[in-house]
Amino acid sequence: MAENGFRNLLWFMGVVEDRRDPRKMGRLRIRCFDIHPDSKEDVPTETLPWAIPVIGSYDFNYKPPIEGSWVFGFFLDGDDAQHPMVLGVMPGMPTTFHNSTQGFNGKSDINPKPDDAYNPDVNRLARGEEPGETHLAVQHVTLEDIEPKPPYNAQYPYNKVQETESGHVFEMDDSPASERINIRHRKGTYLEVGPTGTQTNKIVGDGVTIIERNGKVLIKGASDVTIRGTSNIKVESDCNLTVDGTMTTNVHGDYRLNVGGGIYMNSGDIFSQKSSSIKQEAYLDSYNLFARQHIVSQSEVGNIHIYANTGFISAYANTDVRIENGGNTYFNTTGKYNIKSADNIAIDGTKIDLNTSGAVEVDPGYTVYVRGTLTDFVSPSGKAQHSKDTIRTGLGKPIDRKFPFETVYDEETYSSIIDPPDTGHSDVDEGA
Amino acid sequence: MAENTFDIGFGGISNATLSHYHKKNAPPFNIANYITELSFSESIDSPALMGQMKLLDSSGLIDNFPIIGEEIFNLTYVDFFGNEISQEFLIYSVSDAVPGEQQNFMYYTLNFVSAHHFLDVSRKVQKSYQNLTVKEIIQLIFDEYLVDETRFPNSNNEIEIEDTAGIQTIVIPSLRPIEAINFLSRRSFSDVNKSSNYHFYQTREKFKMKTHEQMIKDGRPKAIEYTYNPALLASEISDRDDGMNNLLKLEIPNRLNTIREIASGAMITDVVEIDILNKQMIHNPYTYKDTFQDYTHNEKSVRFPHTNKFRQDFFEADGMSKSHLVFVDSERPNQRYIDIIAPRTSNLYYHSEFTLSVEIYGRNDLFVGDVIKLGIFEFEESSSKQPELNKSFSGYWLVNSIDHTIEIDKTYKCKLKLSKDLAHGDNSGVSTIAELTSEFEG
Repeated sequence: MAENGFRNLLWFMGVVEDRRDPRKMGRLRIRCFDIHPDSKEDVPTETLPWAIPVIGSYDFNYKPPIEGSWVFGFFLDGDDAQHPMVLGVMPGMPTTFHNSTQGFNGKSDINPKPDDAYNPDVNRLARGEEPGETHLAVQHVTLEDIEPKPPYNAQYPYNKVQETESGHVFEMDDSPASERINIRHRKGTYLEVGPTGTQTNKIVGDGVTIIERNGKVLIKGASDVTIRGTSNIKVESDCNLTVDGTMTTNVHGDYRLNVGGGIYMNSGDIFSQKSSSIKQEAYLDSYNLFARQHIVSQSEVGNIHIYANTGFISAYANTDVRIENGGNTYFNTTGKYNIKSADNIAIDGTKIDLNTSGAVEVDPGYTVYVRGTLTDFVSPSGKAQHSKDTIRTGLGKPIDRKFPFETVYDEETYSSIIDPPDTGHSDVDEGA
Repeated sequence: MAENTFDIGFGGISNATLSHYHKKNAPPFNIANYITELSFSESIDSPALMGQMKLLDSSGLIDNFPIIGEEIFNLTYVDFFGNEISQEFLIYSVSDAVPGEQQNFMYYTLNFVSAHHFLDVSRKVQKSYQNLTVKEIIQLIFDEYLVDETRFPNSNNEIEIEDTAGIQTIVIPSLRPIEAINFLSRRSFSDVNKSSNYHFYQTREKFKMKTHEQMIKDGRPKAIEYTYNPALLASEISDRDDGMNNLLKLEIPNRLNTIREIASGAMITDVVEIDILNKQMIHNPYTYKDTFQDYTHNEKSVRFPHTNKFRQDFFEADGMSKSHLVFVDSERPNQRYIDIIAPRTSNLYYHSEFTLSVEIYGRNDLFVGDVIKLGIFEFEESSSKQPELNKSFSGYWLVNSIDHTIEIDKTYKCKLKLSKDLAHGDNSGVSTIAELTSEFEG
């Protein structure tokens, strides 16, 4: 009880024996020197009054001192000593192993740890002593290829360390020339900013990043991303990829590009495709090729086939149409075969063999010249001089194919039809 | 009625011996003939009997015995009525030593105290008590810390504790046993006696922890009656018992003190409960006017101390001059600060505002915490009519303390400090009269 304010506070010093406040408000049970006895039989920990913390940092989410911590405070009700308040902790160096059966000992198995005897309460990381006893040893062992070595080089008293009882660490290190920020989970996940501003973010478990609104990433230098498992990228809206330089995509397996809409590929220079085999199919509509200049189709060792399964094949050129080949040329049609020219028609050959089951009609509008010896001849009156089988022998047998038929691809490797342009960049595979 | 031949005011030492603490089986040394005067006191505010005796030592007792401050002093004394009381004390200091003119003797004073006090100052209570009433806790502390029949087999270890309400869990914070009991008595609540004005004290008979209300209830039925006639000489008294019941002296140290009353918060106060965890501050105003009829007073009819106008102008108009901050711990029920603090403050004050100091011939049947009844006539010029009793000074008085003095001439006197919370009143005065009938006659 106090009258007209607090005039008779009773100051105390004591040891935290319990911080498991059932109301979860940061209260502590403290055994106070010269107020409470050593004996836990006379005063069990659970009968000690709860001390309310006075939080000088004005942060209600303060970290209650762990069992075994030495603290300082006062009793609001003076000598009655039933309403303690605790002001803060006092660092020290335990010189005895704790015995939780006795008062003034923490019952936690965390602090003081048996091996913490003769070690100050100030964290090793803050002291810069025996860092190998800390998580740094593990961090060195589990170092990845691209992971920089821990930049820890703390000097007392510059490193401000908060380490929780399970091993989470938060460091704000102002050690000269070794300034760092380190946030580390007990499992090894950490985020560390080194003295040069280099930041390492290592996640030993799964990693999830969620940005509820827009996100931006700017990397001013080069960037390497290595994904050792399957990577899935899903863009639920448009995706724009802009590459100011050359973009090289190396796929060691298949490359499957599935597009629900159209594919529009525009190139300011050559568009080159190279593959062991190329198959393109317009399964619903036309397949169009357009070139400002030439269109060249070349088959080095195989054939070139053009089929119109249900339609016709037309070829149109403003100037000449040339069909040249080193072997024979066959035109085979089930319908009529018409050759029409607005100019002369010239047929050159060592022999011209006209073979028909019907008549051969020559209906010139002008004179018919026959140069050379005319041996066999059928007169307009229909009188035959030779059998027709003898005449057809020179043409050979007709082609035995009918549309549609399956295309047979040649599996043999053949060389490029067009040499790739010189980009000035070495091939990635070669560089690797 | 005493059937003895003692002179009025007789009282004497029957036995007074010193024993070495470390040689309890050795025959005690009789010092009765050394004692020129012996006095000791008891009080409802003191948990120990303390006294002193003046010795005329012509045999070098102090050095030869020697007296080193650990002697057991056994005292037996008898009063006019032949009642004898034996008690055990411990010598704890020697003071006021004055050598005789011829250096053939020495005067000095031996100070003594009840043995429990030695146990008290040498022990400390650091212990928690769970789910017990305060009465039970006090009994446990008393038995464990203030009773040591091995070291002090002749001590009177009886204690009488008034019931307390409510189960409590409490840690005694390193207090001496008597401090611990006083600490607990301040936290005691009585369902019966609403003042909760508990006192822990030691009489020549036993220890007690009682409210002043209970003292009054217990004391009024057996109150010894005294009259005051200073002009009457003992030799003129025909009835020896009447002589024993005549006040030898009467003084009035305190009659009233309004300034002190206002400042004390006895009339009006505020108990402010602070609940830190629940972030609550609750004012609990208290006025004596509203509650004084709930308490047991010395008198059946009492006069409220002030008129309504004065009370309103000086106790209430400018707010409360006194407040008490208490801290609520919701996890420790039955603290009942509101029920204890304000009533206790009021009752403590009003039992100190009106006090008398009287001197009587010593008697062994009167103890602190008892009640005596005074019959004191009006302090007026004598007139022809029969003198009337003064209503303020007459009536029932609580014995707060007794200083016993036994002198070498075999006279035994007691100085009593008496208190009365509210004066007997009637309707002729300026203030309110309250008729209190409940339990008045015990």
